[in-house]
Amino acid sequence: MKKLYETYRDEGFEIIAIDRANDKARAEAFINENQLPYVFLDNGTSDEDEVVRNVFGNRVFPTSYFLDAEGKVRNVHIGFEEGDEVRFEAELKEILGK
Amino acid sequence: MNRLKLTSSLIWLSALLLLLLSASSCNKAASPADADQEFNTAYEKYRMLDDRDEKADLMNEFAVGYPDSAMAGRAIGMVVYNRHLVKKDYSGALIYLDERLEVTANPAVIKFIKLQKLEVLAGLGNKEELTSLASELLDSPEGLSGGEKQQLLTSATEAEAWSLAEKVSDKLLEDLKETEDKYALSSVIAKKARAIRNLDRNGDALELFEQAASAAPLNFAGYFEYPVMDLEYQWASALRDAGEFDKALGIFEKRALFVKEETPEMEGFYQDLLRDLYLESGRTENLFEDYKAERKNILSKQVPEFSAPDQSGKMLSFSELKGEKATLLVFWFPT
Repeated sequence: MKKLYETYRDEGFEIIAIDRANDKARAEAFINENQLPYVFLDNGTSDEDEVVRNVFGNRVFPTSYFLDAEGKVRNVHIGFEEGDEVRFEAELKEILGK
Repeated sequence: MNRLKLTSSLIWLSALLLLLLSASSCNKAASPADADQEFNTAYEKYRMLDDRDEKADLMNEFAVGYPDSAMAGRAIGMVVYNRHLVKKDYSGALIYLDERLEVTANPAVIKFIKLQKLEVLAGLGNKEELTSLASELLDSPEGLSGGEKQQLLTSATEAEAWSLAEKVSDKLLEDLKETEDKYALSSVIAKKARAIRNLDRNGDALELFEQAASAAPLNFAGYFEYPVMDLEYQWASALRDAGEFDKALGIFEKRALFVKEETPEMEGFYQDLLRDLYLESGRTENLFEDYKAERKNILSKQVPEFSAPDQSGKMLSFSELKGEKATLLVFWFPT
């Protein structure tokens, strides 16, 4: 994910990660350990704050959404498996029109 | 007088000694605390063992030594798992469980063994015995807990014991009358619908599937666990049988158009299903790609504006963060 970001950020690609665990300490450790270059948001704890619930209502994690220039959903990935990087890159190229 | 006193004291003393002795020998055989201690010791050993037969033998030794201990059920479960279930040896499991059932008097252990038997009977596909044992447990004064009923529903489905599945669903729906967990409710209604469809009441099943979907979305961003995916398939099949191809397409198209499945086989399954339903609806193959592009465009959701704090507590909004050309929005638990 990090590599994907570093390769394509200059072409108008961003990653927004949202911590579903609501565990600040763990999220911070994860960010530091992996030297994450992209933004990592806290999901919030109250029902009103719950970004996931309000925006997508999904219940399975990790879930990733590829969005186009307008912010419309193009593809949804459920889970993340070894080897998914390749598929992610192919889809990103399609959205970028490459 | 004195001698009499002495004799009676002696009698008392020996009676007391006898009592103590018998109490301590009793302890050795059946004190719950003793059995717990013994179980914990065995379990520590169990965890260190790799060999499944050795694990099973160890727990069997406990189950035989303390048949009435509250822990006997767990021990029996571990024997059955390591000796039989990992090899899908359901017949062997059944024989072992029946043996243990005969030698215990503890009602909790008896119930535990019977619950195990339900799973084993489902594995054997023995609908009749599964149904009769399940009914016995369901109708007993003590009944079954919510989790046990859910497990039973899974077993009934596995064994294709559809009348039983309908009965268990109804019991679960009674429990869920007051629930606010709409996903739990939706899932049970849909499972009941699947049972009813398999009992050849397709019309009733369709009604229930609609009810389930209106309680909580079954597909797309809603709920992806395996049984529900199967339920989507069942719902679409019910619609297909009723000749409602467009509606059937509606159930699958979001998943087929947007979701990148975990395996190529699964991906292919949904793609083929979409194509079959499309063709069955009377349309032609050459328009299939256009149809997909058009539906994808219509169904695609715009992510609404939202804000959330970053690690330093600063509020950031989606519009500030989103990429000019593409964005990957990831929800996860960092591990």
